[in-house]
Amino acid sequence: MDKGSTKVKLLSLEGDIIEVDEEVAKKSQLIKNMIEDTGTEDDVPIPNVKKEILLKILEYCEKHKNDNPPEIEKPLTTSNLSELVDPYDAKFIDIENLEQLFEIILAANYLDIKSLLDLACAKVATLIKNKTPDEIRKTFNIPNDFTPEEEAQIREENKWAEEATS
Amino acid sequence: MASVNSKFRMIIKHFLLNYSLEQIKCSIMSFNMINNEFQEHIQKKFKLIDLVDTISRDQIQYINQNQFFIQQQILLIGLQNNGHLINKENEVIPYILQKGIRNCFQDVFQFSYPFPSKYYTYAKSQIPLFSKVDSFTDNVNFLIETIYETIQIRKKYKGSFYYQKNQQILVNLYKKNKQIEKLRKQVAQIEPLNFKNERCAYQFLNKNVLSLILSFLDIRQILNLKLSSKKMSQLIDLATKGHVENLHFKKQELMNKLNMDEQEFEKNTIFLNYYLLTQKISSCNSNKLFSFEDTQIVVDYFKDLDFIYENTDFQLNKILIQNQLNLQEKVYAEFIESFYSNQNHISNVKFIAHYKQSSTLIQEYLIQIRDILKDKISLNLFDRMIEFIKIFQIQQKILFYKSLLKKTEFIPRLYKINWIVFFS
Repeated sequence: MDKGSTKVKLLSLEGDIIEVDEEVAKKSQLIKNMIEDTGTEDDVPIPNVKKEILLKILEYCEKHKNDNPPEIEKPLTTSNLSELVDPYDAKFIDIENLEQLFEIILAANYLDIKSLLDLACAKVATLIKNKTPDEIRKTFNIPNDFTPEEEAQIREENKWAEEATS
Repeated sequence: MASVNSKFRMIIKHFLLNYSLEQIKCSIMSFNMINNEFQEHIQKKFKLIDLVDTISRDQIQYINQNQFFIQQQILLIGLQNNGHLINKENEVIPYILQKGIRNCFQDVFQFSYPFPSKYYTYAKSQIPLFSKVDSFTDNVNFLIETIYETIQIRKKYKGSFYYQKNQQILVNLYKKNKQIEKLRKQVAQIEPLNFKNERCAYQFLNKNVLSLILSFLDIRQILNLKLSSKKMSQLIDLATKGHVENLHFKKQELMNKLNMDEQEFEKNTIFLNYYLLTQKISSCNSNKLFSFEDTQIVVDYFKDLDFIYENTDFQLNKILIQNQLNLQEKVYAEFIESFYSNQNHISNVKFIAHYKQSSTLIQEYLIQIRDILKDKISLNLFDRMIEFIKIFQIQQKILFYKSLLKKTEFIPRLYKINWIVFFS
């Protein structure tokens, strides 16, 4: 962090203060608006985000403080994100703990950091891509509440989709 | 304990990755090199064809080349997936025949053959062909030639690139290799769940997030996600509604930019599809019979075009084509009847002669109609093709999403035609 730059104090869910450069904090549209309204003197409360997640997000903001990552192509053509995004971003979001990944998504959504939200959602999409419904259930710990008849009915109704992309 | 487990897991993971990667011998660099070379090769091919092309056909060629190029990409991806089964040139045809041509390369068969036959003939004489098997159609010959060229390029790199989709391959390798499978089970025992304490994805999903995740998936993957549970299916329906609204907004924005209304958009879409179809048909030489499928497509297009164009010439040509098609159908029915009843009222030779004559006539009428429509088209479609394609793709998405929501039971056929790759 630059010595001369203005600092912003962010207050995490646990009540911990995290001091960060203003330009880094302003990667979040929410914080940017708050600073513009109230200035940098007061602590900026981020009551929905844990300290651990906030630190991780600030790491991303620090990296991209001077640039805006290009949009990720939709739909994904590969489940290997490193082929689609900057190597740093691919490594950053390669998180095995899905709870943490989803917490980053919710925090990025709340803090309004579009590029990070896109990156994290694209990561989730790679975990869905090329998987069967059963594999998806296992990955995301989703209980199957379909009866075989209901499942067959949905398949039948959407047969065109399977044909269109087979 | 957790950190020991984690360390152990990391060691095993690295072992698995190194082991598999060693087997796969795959690197992104080699893939990119080959992909670039392949693209250059195809571009050179285009240049060769451009040499004999006339300026007035440039824009048409541009569309065709794009479409052709996309199909080559699909073919390339297909070869990467299945390529390990083909190692030598002499295995190509048996491989295709064994797998079934249509089953093997469905996408390729959906595309309209891009060049008029005279250009193709010229190009063919300049490029050494692998196969001159007459019994195959031109398309299949071309396909085999492309496969051959791909193999030649691949051989240059000692066959090391075609396992690009390493995730899928890794899974397959795990399943095949008992030793690896044993280790995988151990890894699963150490840390089997990504979500702990009975938490699951629902607790982290909201409409906005799910909608964004869906936008990265194609329709089939969305369907698989939908099939994972009833609750997920309901959430997807909810998110899809929002997504459709956003798409409508985007579409409207682009249409305003092009100063185009709904009717104009529909008219252009129909025209463009019809145009590409007639390009395909006009590239057929007079000896080739229309397939029933082609004829049916023509008839379907008329239904779409009819209410838009009331031009007298158009209507006249339409009637002539319809008469020819009716006649074809009648002759065909007679032929089938005589064939089964053994009465031999109509000979095979006469039947084919009639079909050839009829096909040539239909072909001429179709081209005339296309020229009439081309004059009438108000949007300068070819100059603004990229913008138009974007709107078309958005419209495709809207229709597919609506169909997922069961709001649209019927998707017009022209939106299913693969002249633009779905959701690209």
